[in-house]
Amino acid sequence: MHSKIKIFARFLNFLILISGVTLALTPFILFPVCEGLRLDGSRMICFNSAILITASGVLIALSALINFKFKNIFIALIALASFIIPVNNFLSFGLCGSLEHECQAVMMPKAGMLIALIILISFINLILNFLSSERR
Amino acid sequence: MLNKNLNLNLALKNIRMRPQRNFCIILSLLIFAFLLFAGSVLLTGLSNGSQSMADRLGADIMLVPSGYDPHIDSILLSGKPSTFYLPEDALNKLNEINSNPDIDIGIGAVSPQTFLATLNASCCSYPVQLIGIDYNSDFIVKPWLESAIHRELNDGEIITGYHVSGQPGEILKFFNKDLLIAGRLEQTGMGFDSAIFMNKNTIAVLAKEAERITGRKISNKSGMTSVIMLKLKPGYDSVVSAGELNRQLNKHGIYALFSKKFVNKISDSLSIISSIIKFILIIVWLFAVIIIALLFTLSLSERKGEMGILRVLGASRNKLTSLILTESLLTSFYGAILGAILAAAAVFALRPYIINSLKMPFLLPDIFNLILLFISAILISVLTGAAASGYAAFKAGRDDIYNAAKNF
Amino acid sequence: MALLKLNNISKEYERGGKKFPAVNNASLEINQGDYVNITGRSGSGKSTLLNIAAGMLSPSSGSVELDGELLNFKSDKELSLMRNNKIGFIPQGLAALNYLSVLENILLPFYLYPDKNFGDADGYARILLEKFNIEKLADAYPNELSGGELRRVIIARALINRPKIIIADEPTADLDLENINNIMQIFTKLNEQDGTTLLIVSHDQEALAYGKKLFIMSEGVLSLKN
Repeated sequence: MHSKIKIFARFLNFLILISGVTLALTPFILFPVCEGLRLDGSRMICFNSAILITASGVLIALSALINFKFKNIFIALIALASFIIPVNNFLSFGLCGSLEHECQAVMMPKAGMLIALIILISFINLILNFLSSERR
Repeated sequence: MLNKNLNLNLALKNIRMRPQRNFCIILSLLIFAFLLFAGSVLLTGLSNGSQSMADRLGADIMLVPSGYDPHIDSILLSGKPSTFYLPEDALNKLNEINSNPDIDIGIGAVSPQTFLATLNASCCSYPVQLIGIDYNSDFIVKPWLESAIHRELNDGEIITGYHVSGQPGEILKFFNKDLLIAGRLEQTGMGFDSAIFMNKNTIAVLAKEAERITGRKISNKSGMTSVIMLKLKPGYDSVVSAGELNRQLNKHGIYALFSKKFVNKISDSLSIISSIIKFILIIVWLFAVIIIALLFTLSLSERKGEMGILRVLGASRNKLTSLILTESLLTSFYGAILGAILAAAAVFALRPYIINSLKMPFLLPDIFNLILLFISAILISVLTGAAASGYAAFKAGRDDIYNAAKNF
Repeated sequence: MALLKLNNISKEYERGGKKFPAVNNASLEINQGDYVNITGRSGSGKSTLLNIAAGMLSPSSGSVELDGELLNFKSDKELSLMRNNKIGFIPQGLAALNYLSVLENILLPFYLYPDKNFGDADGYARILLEKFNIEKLADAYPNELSGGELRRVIIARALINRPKIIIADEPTADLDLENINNIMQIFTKLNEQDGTTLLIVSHDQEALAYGKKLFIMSEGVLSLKN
């Protein structure tokens, strides 16, 4: 019974790995955003968010590969931050103001789905951890 | 290893004995706590929002160009940038009515506002609603504009809505004009949050510049007015007065709206949403109770032997009851806290989308109330779990030891 | 003074609307250091008597005295505490909790009502394990043990709170001859070396070879066999 849980947890971990990699690829490769510059040559605000999301994806994928305490909480927090920060315009991250821009219309919804998936899986993992015995 | 917290030890070990079953229990309470917290935040947010709208919308009647009346709510609520203007003699027509002794509709204060949507030209100058107010007559925006900067708004100065990026002292550029941010408004939960306010002179300059850039004429003459806000004298009914205004002005392409209509419309949809949320909560609550009660009762018959052993070794009836309750409290608490955290995350993450999709004013409760709602959601969920396992917990200790001991 | 005293115990059950006596006016006195065996066919009322003696079942009439205290009219809490402190009960079958290790199973009665003055319970549990030659199994789980090993664990568990009396219900049932002798030698040693008082119900002829007094239970009637 417990070995089944472990196999399932390993499968979920693999899913997190895949989702993390996909998330990292979302803003620049799969659904590129913010390729242009502003008139004054500076980057658009969505560019910061794109970097944030890529970094989160990399971090999430890396943490799926190693085991450490509070791993699932860490993954959930990273994923959550990479959504909440851009969407709510925290710090100097944000999304392009226009709903029609790639940033808002394509990249963020896709990234949001991946992020929701990652958070859900890490929560299921949390519960499984709680339920699987420390018994050898 | 066992220690003095025997109940907790045994409960944890027992929970881990039946992972699938307890997964179901945790999940059902997670969902319940999620919906409870998210639902109550949503409801409080909406009722805060509509309260703030009722407070802020100080006008009794609004005059808008005919054909724009259906769009007013989306302009007020989501701040959808729009540019439209009343016929240029609208103010005069209104004055005529006002000075006609045969028409008694009790107009008190009159204040025009000018709307101008910025262009979607380069990448980051996305359209925002610019609102020009007449500082001398304004009675709607001025009070809270003044609370933001404590002085009059000079030409070339703007006050930004809560969601517009930019800090006071910074310059925003619209239609090639540099505008100094003089202040920033508190959150209102309405379209004003993404609007930018300025005085009549400033918006006139911008409008001229806009005409030059687009090559399109925005309005015929000077004195562009998008809406006229009216305040009635005490004792006059806004529905009756709006009706009379419509009779007089519709033929001139002017339409009168009474503001209460929005507030009423919003409180109507608010009560629908609140009944939907309550209905869902009750259904999910019932499901959680049934699932938990069922699973605990099911476990109980399997665990007769275990209970028998504990009884034989000297566990009293109350001890067995508290053991079962500890188990259900543990799983319930785990599910409840995860659910509430998930809900909090969802509320924060999806807030902008909620506001957009509901088309209703939305103001998050303050942090104190949020924490209060968070704790109550967890508490109610945990109590639900404990209560649902109550029968099983009671029965656990009541089985005859002699019978129970036969089940080893 | 008798350690355990059963006075005119009767217990009636209803079966098919008719009352029948499982235990009929049984009396028994066990003194400190006694080793008493009760035998009889299955259904003769042995287990019922044992459960009444341990305060887990109340008699229809008669009284039970343990260590000078009358068990009648005691609350569930008082009876439970008494069972935990004064009686080391060894139930029928392999009655261990599968989710606890051997050591945890043995310590379970102690942790139900932890006593600060007890001293090192953990150490005492390990001494018992050593005594019964199962010290290597301390961290094993019950379902990994053989019947004989588990029976020894259950005996160790009965001893952990240093009870006044050990009451055992068929402690050798379903065991092979070697294990039966093994278990019975443990009981004999406990009685002879440590002065532990024993009340054992069994219908194994091999088991009955041990012990100082033998009672026979037949159709609810208890009688001393000479």
